[in-house]
Parts: sequence; C-alpha cells; structure tokens
Amino acid sequence: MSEVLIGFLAATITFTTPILIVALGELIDERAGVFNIGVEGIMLSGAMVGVLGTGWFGNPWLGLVLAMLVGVLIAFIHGYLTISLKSDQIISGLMITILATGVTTFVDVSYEFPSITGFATLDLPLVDAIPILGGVLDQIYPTDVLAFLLVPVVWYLFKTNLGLRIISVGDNPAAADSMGISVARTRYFGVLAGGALAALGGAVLSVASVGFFGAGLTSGRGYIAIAVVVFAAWRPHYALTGALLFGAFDAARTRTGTIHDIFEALPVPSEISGILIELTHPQLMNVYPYLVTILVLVIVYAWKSDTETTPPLAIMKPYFRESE
Amino acid sequence: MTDLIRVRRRDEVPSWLGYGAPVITIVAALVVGAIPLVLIEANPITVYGEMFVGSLMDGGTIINLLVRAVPLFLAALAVYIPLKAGLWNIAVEGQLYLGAIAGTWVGVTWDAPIYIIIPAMAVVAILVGAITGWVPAYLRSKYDINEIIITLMITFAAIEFNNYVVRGPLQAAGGVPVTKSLPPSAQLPTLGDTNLHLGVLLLVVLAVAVYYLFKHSSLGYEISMVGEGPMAVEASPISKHRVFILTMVLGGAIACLAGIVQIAGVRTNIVPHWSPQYGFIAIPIALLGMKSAFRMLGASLFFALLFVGGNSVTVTSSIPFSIVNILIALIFLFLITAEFFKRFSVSLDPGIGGRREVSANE
Repeated sequence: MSEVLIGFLAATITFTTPILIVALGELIDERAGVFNIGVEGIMLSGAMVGVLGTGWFGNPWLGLVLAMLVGVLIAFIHGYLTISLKSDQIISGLMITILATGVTTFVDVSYEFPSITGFATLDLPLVDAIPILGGVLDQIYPTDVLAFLLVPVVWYLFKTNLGLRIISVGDNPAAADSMGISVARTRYFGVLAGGALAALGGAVLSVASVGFFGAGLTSGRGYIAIAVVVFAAWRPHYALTGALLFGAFDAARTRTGTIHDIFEALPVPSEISGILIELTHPQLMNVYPYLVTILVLVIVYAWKSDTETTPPLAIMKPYFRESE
Repeated sequence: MTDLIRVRRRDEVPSWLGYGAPVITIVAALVVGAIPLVLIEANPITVYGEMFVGSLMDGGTIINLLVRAVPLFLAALAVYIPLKAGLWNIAVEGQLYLGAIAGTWVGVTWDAPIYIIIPAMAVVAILVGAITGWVPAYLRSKYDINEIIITLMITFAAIEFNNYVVRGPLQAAGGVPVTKSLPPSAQLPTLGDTNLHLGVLLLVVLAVAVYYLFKHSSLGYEISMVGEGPMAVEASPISKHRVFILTMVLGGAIACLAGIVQIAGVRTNIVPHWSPQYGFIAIPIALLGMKSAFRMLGASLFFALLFVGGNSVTVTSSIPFSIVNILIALIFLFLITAEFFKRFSVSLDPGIGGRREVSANE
C-alpha cells in the first residue's frame, strides 16, 4: 500500500511542476492586465526548443534557458500586438497558440529530434529514513524544487515595488499612468515574464518529465494553467493549491487501475461501483479540472465573500490614453 | 522612446489603406509562411500556386469550398451574435464538439426513418447548445462573472469530454479511438455523387436571417444597443438580461448545430480533435465581419479556400497539413497589426511636449 501511495505522490509532483510554472507566469501576466491564451502555444514551443537545446548543447539546463529565450520572443509578439498596437488579447493569444501548434507539428513531421538525457533525480542524503516521504523525495528532480521555490518568489514579487506597479497597471492603468508609472513598460514586463515561464514549464515537461518531444505534447496543459490562475483567484499561494490539485487529478488518471480495484472492493451494490468506475475513466477525469474551476468561480462570486478574489479589473482591456 | 512617437486616432481611414490592408496582410503572411516551406526544400511559389490557383481549376473545388465554409461560417455566427451584444463566446470550439456528440448519440442509438432522425439529431444538438450558451450568459447577467473565462473553460472541458466519448460509451468496436459511424439513414442527403450535402443550405438561410435580424428587426436593434454600452441601455426600456441570455443561447445553438452538421454531412463519425480549430478561427472571422453577415460569409469562403487548397497540396506532396494553420494564424496576426495602422496614424514627434499638443488637438 505504501508503495502505491509513494508512486501517487511522486507522480503528483511530476505532473504539478510544469502546470505550476506556467500558471505562475500566466498569473504575473494577467495581474498586469494582459490575458494570454497563447501560453498553450508558448508552452508547446518551449517543450520543443527545450529538447532541441538539450540535444544540441548536451546539457538540460541550457535546453531550459534556450526555451525561455524563445518563450520571451513569442511573448514579445503578444506584447507588441496587445500593448503597443492595442489589439484584442483573445485574438492575438489564440493565433499565437494556433501558429505554435502549426509550427511545432510542422517541425515534428519534417525533422528528426535528437535523443536526450534529461535530469538526474536529486540524491538527497538522510531522507531514506523517513517513511513514505523519503520514497517520494527520492524521485524528485531539481526542476521540481525550482518550481516550488518559484511560489514564494512570485508571492514576494507582489510585495515589492515592481509587483505593486504590476497590480496597479492591471487594475487601473489610467491611475497608474497619472502617477508616472509606465503602463506599457510594466505590462511588457508581465507578458515577457509570463512567456519565459510558460516556455520553461513546457521545457520541464519535455526534458525532465517525458524525455522527448512530439506534436501536441502539452495536450492542453497550458489551458489547465489558465484554469489554475482562475481557480487561484489570481493569488500565487492559491496557485500552488490549484496546481497540486490538478496535478493529483493527472496522477490519479494514470492510476485508474488501482482506483477501480478499490471501487470494486467497496461494500456497495455493483451498479454504484460501476458508476464510480465510469466516472473515474482516465479520459473523463481530464474534464474535471475545468468543471471544478467553473464551480469555484461561481461559489466565490455568488458568495461575494471579499473583493480580494476578483480578476484584475482592467484585464483584457488595452490601455488608451485619453489623448489617443 | 514612446514619447518620440506620436500616435493619433484617425478620423477617417485613407481609402488606399482600406483596400490595401487585406492585400498587404495576405502577402506578408505568405512571405513569412514561405520560411518553413523553404526549410523543407519545397518551392513556395509552386506550393502557393497549387494551393490557390491549381485547386480552383479543379471542378470539385467550388463544392468543397462551400462544404468547408459551413463550419467556419456557422461558428463565426455563433461568435458574432453575442459579440453584437458585447459578449465574447469563446465556447464555440467546444460547442462544435458537444453538438457533434449529442447529435451522433441520437443518430447511432435511435433507429428511425431519415425524415425523423435528422431533425431529432439537430434538435438535441441545438438543445445542448442552448444550455451551454445559457450558463455563461446567466452567470454574467446575475453574478457579473466574466463570460470569457467561463466559455473558455467550457471549450477546454468539451475537447476533453470528446476525447472521453471516442474511447467510452460511443466507441466503435476495435479499440481505436473513434465513435460508431452514423448509419446512412442518419446522414445528410447529398446532391448526386458529389459531397454537397443538405447542410450547405444553412449558409444562405442563416446569412439572410442574421442579416435581417440586425438590419431590419427591432430585436437586432436592441441587441446592438446593449452592445453599444451601459449608457445607451440605461436610458431605454431594453432588458440587458434578456439580450444576454438570448444572444448566447442563439450562438450556442448555431455552434452545436454546426457540429452535428459536420458529422452528419461530412465525417459520419467522431475522432479526437476532429475540428481543425474552426471555433477559434471563427473568432477573428466574426470580428472581420462585424459590419454584416454577408462580409462574414465572404471571409469564411476565403478561409475555406485555404483549407481546401491546403488539403490538395498536402495530399499530393510531403508538406505537412499544419502549413494551413500556420498561414491562417499569420494572416490574422498581420491583420490585427494592419488594423492598428488603420485606426491610428503614427509619426515621429518633431518637437518636445508632443503629448500635450496631441491632447490639445482632441
């Protein structure tokens, strides 16, 4: 039993890591007032470039860095169109995802990818003595540590001057502008940071978790990251909760055999266990994160517990000066 | 640096820019799209020639064009109608899948004559569309929850649900992720031996209906008033709530209808990711055609040409079909760039204090 638990927890962390990194990036992006559906495309590009870079340089870290550079480059297109040219954020983001899906599929069909060696697991001393947790920590990659460390970093970012500027241009750009904050520059920072992290998340998925690239590798994980941001009410520490929850869904999805054994052993009529088994169909479980997100959003809004949980007020709105 | 550049809203689009922008846009997209073609040692001129000219020479192309335009145009209408009221329906891509699933479910499980089963499939699909349109509209109207986020979540959930259906309850025997095929009695009739199916009539019917709705009916006027913004509505007896619900339900119904028409008219079964992102491509098409439904029909036919031409090129050569997606995305990215220069004039600021000068001008 403990082995099953160790496997589940370790898989949860593996699945959580890329989602968490991408979600934190999208969170910075959205707090600055720029929504980016392009994250799915940037994540996909990052996954591809991460494998290419790792193969070319023979070093997975350099693969991740190259992926982040490409992520910044693609995010710049989104930033240029939505901030400088004041285009619609939905259209720009969607087209970036469609473009990236097209390009990565094109490359996958016509180019032979190098085979790569990714990261080694962290060899932590002394942890073997801890029951269960020790077994989980044995399977941790350095990239997992990086992802979890990003949470306090982003949390702290919003306490700094820069972070407060990001929040102000996301909530009330006109007021921020009148106080001398450059709306464009601050929003660019958010978009580029978001792009770098989205690509990093993709590269972590391909280089650390699966060890190869194929067309459509991210299979909607960028979208899950968008859901995490909503679920987290645009707060970094809740993003950790959301990413862990959806990561656990993913981990459970790959272990439905065990789950179904448990349901069959339950002392309930076979009809009920049959329904439970159908509801935990591995493919159906992919639907749940989005339904949970809708539900959370409705609960939060219907109760209106506090205004702390609303989206950035100026999200998806290009900023025009009165003089423009 | 930003202060050196003077950006000013144009009062009027210069006519050369109005006509020139689409041409420049398409040429720019084709030039950038040539890069991947050159990299795989294909000749872009031959490829584009085959795509746009060669495929048009083929007699069957007009029919293929009309058939391809159906999902694009219907999906665009599903975005357009709510957008007229100021609502973004990003659920269209998902609604295509949900309508396809609902209609196919009726088609493969119910045995009835064709004149009963086809309308039944359409009705069930439309019902699903109405529900998935009602939910985000109600949440927006009642709790002011952003409809973009909810409709986006519906799309993501629907795509995953489709992945489940092809491996779950409707799966055909054999273990491949594909649903059972619709029996001939549940497929749309076609004209003779061609693949011109009955659903193509929807292009004309819906274009006329939606044109009439917004140009000549009081309901269309109400919808446009709500879309104009809160100021216009507060001074009138128009119910924003009613308009929100109505437009989103209509949009959802049309999108889901498009889904089942595509299955019953073209595909006959459902596979994972069967839609080449029609519902997403529809969003900029709807925006392009904000002025009238017929413009949107024209835009849908143009993008249908890309699909049809792309199909004929990639079937006969080793060029991946994804070149079509690359071109479509590039066209829209350049188009929104051009849109900016249509709305604004940009010039280098000759002196200091330009910003103040601009505000004085307004």
